[in-house]
Amino acid sequence: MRLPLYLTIALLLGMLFWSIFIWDPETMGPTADGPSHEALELADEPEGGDFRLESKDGPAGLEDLRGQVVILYFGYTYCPDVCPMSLAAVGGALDRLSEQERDQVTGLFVSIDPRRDTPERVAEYAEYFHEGIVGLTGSPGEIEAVAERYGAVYEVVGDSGGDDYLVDHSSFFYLIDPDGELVETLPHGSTPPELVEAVRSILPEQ
Amino acid sequence: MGRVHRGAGAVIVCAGLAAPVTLSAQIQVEDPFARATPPGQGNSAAYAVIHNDGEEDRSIVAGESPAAETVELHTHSEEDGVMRMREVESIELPAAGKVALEPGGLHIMLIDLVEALEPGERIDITLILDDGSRLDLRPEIRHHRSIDVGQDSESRGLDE
Repeated sequence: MRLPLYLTIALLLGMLFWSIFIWDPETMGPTADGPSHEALELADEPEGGDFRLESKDGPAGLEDLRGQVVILYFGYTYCPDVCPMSLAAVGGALDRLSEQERDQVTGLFVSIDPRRDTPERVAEYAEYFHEGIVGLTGSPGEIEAVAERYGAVYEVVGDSGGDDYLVDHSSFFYLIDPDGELVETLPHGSTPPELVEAVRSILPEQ
Repeated sequence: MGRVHRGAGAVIVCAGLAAPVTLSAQIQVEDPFARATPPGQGNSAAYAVIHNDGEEDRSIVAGESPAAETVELHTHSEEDGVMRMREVESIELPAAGKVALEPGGLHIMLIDLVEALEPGERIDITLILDDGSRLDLRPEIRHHRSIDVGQDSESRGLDE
């Protein structure tokens, strides 16, 4: 059977119309995962951008770090394994830079557990891994806004009202150039040499 | 600090003598270490490569330590970059095989530490296997700078 050309075109246009305006893969897909899974879906393209939170010395943020390459990481101080591993990688990367390079690089550790992480606590924790890592925290709303802009997600698990809970969270290293632009996101498990390579690709020519 | 650990070690030795089942020499522990605790951190994790040189599959089903209130077996799963740490019931030790407990993967969780873990010290951990035998580890406490994950040994130096 051969359809007349005008019918074929009409059919194709109809399918196109349906796929653009009616078909919604979000609602068509399996929904068994429930809301907790959806809550942890990552943003497609994090936009990044400036933010201001609390450091142990008062308000501080990315906008104070123009001219610096920033390695941004979201985590929490009660994190038993993933954050120590990741901050050790940031610390290891800073250790591998020359002194001149290191002066132009700052680590930022933003707590996604503002309930327990005070500015002092998060600062002490971050500095333990390297004196070049600054710890920041803020109100739950402020943290949420920053995390969303960077596509970082987190979710408290095992919360029974006390201080004994874990936080599932994304584990990425966000590389920010001296103009404050998010330029690269490195995956969990990145090694110090990999971070160094990424940092050097952003550092201005000496 | 060290005295407390020696005392704790003695407790474990006595417990080991009293245990009805002695450990078969077929399970070997390689390079056990635990993470030194950052300030204010009451939990830590211990790691090792555990070899099963025997002909039977074994599994680790529990752990205990005088250094922590609770010892759990944990793993990490990663989904779309989100790390989820969860307790597991057991860790398989396949016959004539080995399992690596390492940062970011399977590990022994030490919860509610009795005291901070300082680099260079050792703690006692006993793992209990499915046949009732006990496996003693004495992990060395390491600072994160000497753990420094995911790199080959030649770049482990910090002198670049």
